[in-house]
Amino acid sequence: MTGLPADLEELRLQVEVMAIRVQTAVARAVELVRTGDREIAAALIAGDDEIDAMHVSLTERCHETLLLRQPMASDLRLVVSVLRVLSSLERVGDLSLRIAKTIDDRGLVVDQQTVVTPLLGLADNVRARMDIVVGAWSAGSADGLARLDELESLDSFVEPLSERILELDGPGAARTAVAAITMTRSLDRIGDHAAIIAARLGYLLTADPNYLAEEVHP
Amino acid sequence: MNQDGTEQRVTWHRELDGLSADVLRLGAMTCETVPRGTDVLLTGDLDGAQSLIELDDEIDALSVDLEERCWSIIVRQAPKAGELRRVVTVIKLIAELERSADLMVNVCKATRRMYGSPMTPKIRGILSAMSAEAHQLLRFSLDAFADANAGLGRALADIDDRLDQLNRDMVEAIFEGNGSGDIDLAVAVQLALVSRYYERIGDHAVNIGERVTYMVTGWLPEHTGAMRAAEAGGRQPGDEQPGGAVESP
Repeated sequence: MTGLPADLEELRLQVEVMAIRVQTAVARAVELVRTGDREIAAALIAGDDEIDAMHVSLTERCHETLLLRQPMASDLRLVVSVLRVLSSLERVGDLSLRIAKTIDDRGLVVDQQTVVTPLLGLADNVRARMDIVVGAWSAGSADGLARLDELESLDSFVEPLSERILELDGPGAARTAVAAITMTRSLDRIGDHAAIIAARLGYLLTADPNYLAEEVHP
Repeated sequence: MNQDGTEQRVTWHRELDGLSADVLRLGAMTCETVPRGTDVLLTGDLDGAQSLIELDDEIDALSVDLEERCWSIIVRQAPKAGELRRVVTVIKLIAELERSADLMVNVCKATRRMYGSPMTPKIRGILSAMSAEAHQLLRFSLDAFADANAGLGRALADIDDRLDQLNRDMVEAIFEGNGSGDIDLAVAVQLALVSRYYERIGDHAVNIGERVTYMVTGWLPEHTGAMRAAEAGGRQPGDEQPGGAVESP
């Protein structure tokens, strides 16, 4: 394989590598919520620079491909989709980092049993979503994306979680609630970005522009 | 260049200028949502909240249309180097602006959730200041794009420090207000989210500044993080490993 097909295959594989790094970041964020392990937090923070580096490198590779190869039709769709997917992956890395930065207040949150159970449920659900979309990207197939619909909706965790957070009381309630909401929203947004990546993969594989509209309101 | 070629270049540059003008129109619409949304928040204007939520549909539609035009230009015109950077920058700007407008929709929805609940004067003051900073950052970022001003683009990250500090002040004021019983927990949570929305708008403006810097100079500030990661691994950004892959799995 040479020329444009070789460039595009290499690009697809490199996005897969970045996606696996981001998948690892999400897994670490979930473990961090569960355990509060500061070594995991440190690894997550250090790993974000590597994700940023891949984002820069792959974005430039896309621009080079556009400039030098002038791809058309499905090849152009791949490059466009990669640019969008890269943005979402980088953002998922940032959101995982946000969770790492709540570590000082994590203890306040996990002391609240009514909050921590649905929070961990949300965390596991979001991790499963990322696993599905990264797996689908690796396989180059939208078939596996149907498993996203089999998962409980994000709202089924976020809504009761929000209610329980608002039931907190006592002198430190606001601090605990803000930390819990930060974790909840970060996880929820990671789930949204998983949906964006799934939509891009759908667009890439089917050329149906309706997927693009889904992206605006994930 | 023959006459046909010259005419094609003129038409192409008009198309590119038209695209930039429409992105600035999208930017103006987005900018306007910041003071309007803050007014909605501070006055509890529910009709105003609904108007802004409806305006966001127009912003979304314009965003989709503009992005499609960008890709159409790339396919039809095959822009070179600086022109390609300009089109790619526009694509990034559209996403940053669309997301900023979404954040002001979130402010409107928070207004509904907090309707009828009082805020302390201190919190109202910080919210006004955050709105002014976020609005100014967005305007500066659009000025940087319109004028291809890389200096202003680079400066936005430092200007954004003021908004970050206001966010920290806000969180403290929320804890204080809740601790003294002046605001209940539900309002405290909504206010913390609203504060975060303004901070995120600032981040989007900084991102626009970075993209403008890239458009003008070809350099992304993200290269700093990339450089740090490469140095940690003993490589330079863009270096490839054997086989052409940036990194192996």
